[in-house]
Amino acid sequence: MPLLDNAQPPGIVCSVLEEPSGSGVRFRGRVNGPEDMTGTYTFQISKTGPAGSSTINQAGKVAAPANTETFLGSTTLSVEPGASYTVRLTIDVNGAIHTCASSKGDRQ
Amino acid sequence: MNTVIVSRCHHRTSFYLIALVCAAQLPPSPASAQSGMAPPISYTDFSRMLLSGNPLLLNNTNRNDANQPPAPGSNFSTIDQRGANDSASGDVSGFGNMTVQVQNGIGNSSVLSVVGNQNTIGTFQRGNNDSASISVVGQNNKITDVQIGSNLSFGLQQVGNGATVTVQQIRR
Repeated sequence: MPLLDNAQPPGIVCSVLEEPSGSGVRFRGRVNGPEDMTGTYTFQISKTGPAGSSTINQAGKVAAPANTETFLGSTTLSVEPGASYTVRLTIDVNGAIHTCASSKGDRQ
Repeated sequence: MNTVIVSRCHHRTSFYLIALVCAAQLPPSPASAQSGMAPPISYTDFSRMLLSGNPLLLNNTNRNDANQPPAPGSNFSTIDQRGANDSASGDVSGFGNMTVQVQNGIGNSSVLSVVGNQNTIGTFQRGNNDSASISVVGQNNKITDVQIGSNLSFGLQQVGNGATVTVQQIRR
């Protein structure tokens, strides 16, 4: 389920996937574009809740073929009742930094 | 008194990490819930060496010679601490290794630094005010953190593609 797609360079589509996984949520970044894409990414997750806090920073290289969904980062995080989280995916393509997706969620 | 167990063997299996994740689902006993101290857990029985006393800082586990390609999957290390205000740090380089840190008690901290590919890294903490910090650089590493208690803190810095990260914080 894509959470949010912000303004992006023409042709580049990216999002944060949020999928239930047991008592938690699996987060993945996703990018797609009409041309081959190379660069780097950062995938940042921050959660605060009754149990405590988690800060997860993932980074790596982007090598996305044209017209192919490419997943960036993968984290499964428990989200207890009363917790809230933010997720941000940033992609650097050809020296231009784009914040492609940012989401905020919580669990009552 | 704190007890530190350090063990190494030559298995390449994710059995122990699976055991950690499964153990996280178990409810604490009433006694442990009242005292904040968790009872011993059976999956620590694979230890090979026992150090007793009050070693508050342990720097251990495996470091392969950077100039020598390590044998894949040749190292497995654990750190097991029971008590309060313990700290453990591990520094691992190479690939195909497995490192697990287990801490029971309150106010514990765990720090792991891993450089290499296809490593399996795990931390398990049971108690309040525990913190864990993991730094991983490499490809296709598997990182698991399980914390049970309250006022928990977990931080991860991971660089490299193909990593699988699982973080569970369970309030007790």
